[in-house]
Amino acid sequence: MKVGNFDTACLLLNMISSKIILSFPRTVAEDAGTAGWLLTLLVSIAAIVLFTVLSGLYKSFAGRDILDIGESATGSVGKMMTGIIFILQFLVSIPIVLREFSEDMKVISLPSTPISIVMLFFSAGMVVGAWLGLETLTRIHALTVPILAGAFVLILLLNVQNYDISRLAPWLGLGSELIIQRGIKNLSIFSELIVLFFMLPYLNRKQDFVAIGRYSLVITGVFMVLASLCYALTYQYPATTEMFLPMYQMTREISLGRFFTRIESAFIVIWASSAFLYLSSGLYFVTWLFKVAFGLKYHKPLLFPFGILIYTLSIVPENLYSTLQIEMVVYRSWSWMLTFLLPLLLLIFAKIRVRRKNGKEAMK
Amino acid sequence: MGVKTRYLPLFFLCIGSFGKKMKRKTACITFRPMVKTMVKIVTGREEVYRLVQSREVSFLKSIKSMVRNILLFHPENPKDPFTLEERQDKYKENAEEDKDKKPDRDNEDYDGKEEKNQNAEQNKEEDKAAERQEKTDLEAQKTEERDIPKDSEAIEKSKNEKIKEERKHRTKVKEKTEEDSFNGQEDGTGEKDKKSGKKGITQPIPLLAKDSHEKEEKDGEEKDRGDIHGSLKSCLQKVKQIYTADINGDFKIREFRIRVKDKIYSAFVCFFDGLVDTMIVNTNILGPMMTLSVMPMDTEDHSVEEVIYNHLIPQNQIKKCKTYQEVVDEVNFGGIGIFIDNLGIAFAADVKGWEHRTVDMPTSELNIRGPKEAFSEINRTNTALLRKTLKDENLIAEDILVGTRSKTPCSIVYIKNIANESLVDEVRKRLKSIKIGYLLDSGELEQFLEDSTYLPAPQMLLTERVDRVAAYLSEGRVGIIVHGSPFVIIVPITLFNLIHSPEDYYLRYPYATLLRFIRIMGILFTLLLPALYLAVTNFHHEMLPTDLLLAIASSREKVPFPTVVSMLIMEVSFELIREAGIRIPGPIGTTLGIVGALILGQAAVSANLVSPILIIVVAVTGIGSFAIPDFSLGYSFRALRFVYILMASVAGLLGIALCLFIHLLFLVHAKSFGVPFLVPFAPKTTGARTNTIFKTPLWKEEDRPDFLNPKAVKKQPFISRGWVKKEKGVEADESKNEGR
Repeated sequence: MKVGNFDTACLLLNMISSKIILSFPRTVAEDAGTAGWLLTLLVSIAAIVLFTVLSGLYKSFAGRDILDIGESATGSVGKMMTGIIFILQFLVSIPIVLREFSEDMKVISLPSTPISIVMLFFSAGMVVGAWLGLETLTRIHALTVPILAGAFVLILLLNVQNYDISRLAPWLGLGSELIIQRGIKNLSIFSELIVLFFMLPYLNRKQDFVAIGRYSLVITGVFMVLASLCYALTYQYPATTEMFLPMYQMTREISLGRFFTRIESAFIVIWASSAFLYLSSGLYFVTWLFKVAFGLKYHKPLLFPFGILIYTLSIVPENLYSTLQIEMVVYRSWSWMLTFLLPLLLLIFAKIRVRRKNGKEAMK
Repeated sequence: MGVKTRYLPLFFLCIGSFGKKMKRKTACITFRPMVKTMVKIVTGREEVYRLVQSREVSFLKSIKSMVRNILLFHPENPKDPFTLEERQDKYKENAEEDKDKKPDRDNEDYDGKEEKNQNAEQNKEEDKAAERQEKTDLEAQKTEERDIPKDSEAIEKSKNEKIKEERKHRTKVKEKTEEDSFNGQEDGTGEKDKKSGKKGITQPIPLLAKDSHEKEEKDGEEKDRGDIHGSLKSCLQKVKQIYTADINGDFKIREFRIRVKDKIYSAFVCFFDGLVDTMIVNTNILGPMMTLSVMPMDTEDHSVEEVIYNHLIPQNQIKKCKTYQEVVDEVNFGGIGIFIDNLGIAFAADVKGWEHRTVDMPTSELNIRGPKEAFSEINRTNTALLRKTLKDENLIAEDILVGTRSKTPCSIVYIKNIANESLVDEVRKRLKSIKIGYLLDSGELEQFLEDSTYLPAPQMLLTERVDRVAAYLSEGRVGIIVHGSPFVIIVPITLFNLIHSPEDYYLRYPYATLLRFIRIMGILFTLLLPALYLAVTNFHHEMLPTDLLLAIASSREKVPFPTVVSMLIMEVSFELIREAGIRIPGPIGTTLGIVGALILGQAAVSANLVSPILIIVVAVTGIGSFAIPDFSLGYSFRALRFVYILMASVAGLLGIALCLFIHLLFLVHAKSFGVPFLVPFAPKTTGARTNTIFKTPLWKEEDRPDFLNPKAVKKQPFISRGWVKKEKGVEADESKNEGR
């Protein structure tokens, strides 16, 4: 099974950028005030720098995924532990995203439908997508992500008439110290970058992962900066901290003459597609991690049980507010460590071990 | 001893005998020594123990017989079950009988000799019957030997060898069945039958083995009807037997005589009346053989066979046949079989002349511009039409027969220096591996060749247009022509090929692009329009402008049904009218369809069953489905739109999004002979993505599709219009392009 570079980049782009549709612009506005876009820009640059460091260390292990590196660093037990850690990470993030998308859909279009039924729709798409495999998933990303990106840009462009640059003042928002302090925590918005380290064995040319990662991060960063910037231009702080669906609010502002006055529902198909792509990719990687960590032969039998598990976990929070609390307070606080620090440590340990081995062999 | 103590040893012995029935080891370890010691304790004498032990057997027997009589007690035979004497006697008799017959499974030395003897007796009888058959065959051979000249002795010897081999095969089969029956008895089936009193039980041959054996015999008969006899009488008899000539009304045999090398030979021809061209038979087969054979020819050095082959059958396609099967295959397909006495071979000539439809206009792919020739049902006519269009010596038409009974000739057509060899090999492999009885149409063959049966989209393109097939072959694809079907299969294809119309290539670029957009719009309307109407009117009212919303609301006011119900009623009615219109013959069909639709729609609106806007939606949906160029793809979208309607009624745009996502997933996952269905977009290939959605100008299509991996990628040079001096900075004169 081989995956194309463009397809992989699109998958990364969707996985990282899907939070634009959710509450990302609001959370950066909460963290940095009117300088939310600046915080996003700094975080994007930091993520690119960190990825460059990681890719430099990774070059000697080209073609091997992070679990293999964990095995090289700490043995088979280490591989298992690494796998379990990443599985837990996904088992926190995917139910949160599932619940958030379902709540959003319920608010937008299905107010009378129980949340469990709305989540069933997303779960069905999630399981079917994961069932058909990584090749199909990446190809459908290559087809749909450009359309999603185009729709996103269209939303921003159609809101040009509502932009007011004076809403960006004060330029540093809540202060540079807070920006830097909270910026570290906000590295978690790139936590889905870890997916690239799972897909390394499936790339056509192993060395291309550096270019894929870099381009994905740049484009994602651009989109996220644009999202937070346009949101800040459209609404005045502190109103920006009160809207739970920023992009939806922005689409509600779109008005094209007398005929097209409220077209926000037209973007439901696009947002739902982004959700399906994220969830199905997430479920696939969870089962893949489980298979690799425990040395199983097949991962497909795990899809349904893990689907049920994710569905069950997503029902645990009482409401959307609890879900957002879990995401912001719990998940975003430490997920950046798993994406950047853990691979860094593993790579360093693996390198030391490999060098020792080579040294011993040379001695012999 | 007291009364109670007197029976103590018996009690312990019963326990001991029970222990004996247990596994020997445990009994030896636990019960016997225990009993022994108890008896010793009670009686103080081992002698008493031995005495009691001897009585143990009779005691046990009596208990057994008592229990047995109780179980076998029947009201019709109300004998006292407790009359032990009678039962014991009977038991003894049965035991004596069973001793002889009962297979002792526990006995390791049992080897089933008795059953073997019984089977041996049966075999002897069968051998005697076989010997009788051999004698009759030998007698028959002797009578034939008189007529057979010396040249054909070798042929007769080979025939005898074959007969002997057949007999050996039959005896081997018998032995196998005997072994099977013998093995069956060891499983215990014989024991039951023996209890009922039957002797010589053999395990019946399992049905599967029988069927396979019968099938082998039948296939053998079909494949090996035998070599052609030297005697004309035998040939005639055999041919009559094969074709059941006494019943078959259209099977004709014409006997005659010919003169070759101053000798007169008997001959006959056989053919199917209606399949052959009688003029050719008369003028090219019968006439020369009957009349020309009299003419003097310099044929002293040639054999009779050579003279007939070279001089007496002036037919362009003639074949020498050594077996009856070869002649049968030719005669079944419009040939004529020619048998000559004393030759040992036959000739088969191609004299096809059945009635068939001529080359006509295509029925399903109508166009205004471009050729209007369509394939017909004749394989050779179709290959000829292709060769007429593609005058290329590299165009190969490989013939393969598909179907064990129909033996339908199929042709794999491709251009050998363009088509990828692995693709051709894959097509050939799939075709040769098909095992069916009858193949009647290319539509049936498509179902055997496709990668995924349940995918809601066709993975092959079936077309009856000659120009379309020629165009696809020149791109590097492979075509499959099926005799009896005017539709030719093209593989591999992508979704975009199914959207294209052949007319796109004959129209100018702007018109062709516009038509493609209209077609894509038609596809989207077919699939999504009813679902979108449902989603917007039920879940997302805010999307509609206020005036339109009020108009829809007022029209729906009097309708008692929910929108989804009235939508389904109208969609199903439309499909019914469409299906019925196909079956009604002549012009009435189309008229009835239109009138029926109009009247039904109007009546439904007047009866307030549906709203007028819904009629418009359904009508536009139907018209959109007619705009889909590919018949099969149109069916696919027509079927899927019901799923979209249901999901939209349940969850609005979210339901539509889910359906679209899953639909797209399956389309992305699909492959057509290894080529992904949505290439060049998913996966993104290195070649140009022109001519997929937008039509490119013909002079710009320099390369063949990259995903086909053709042998020759370049179709035409960069500047294909010689009169153009410069294009995109590239000069037409190549000498001026040096250094760029």
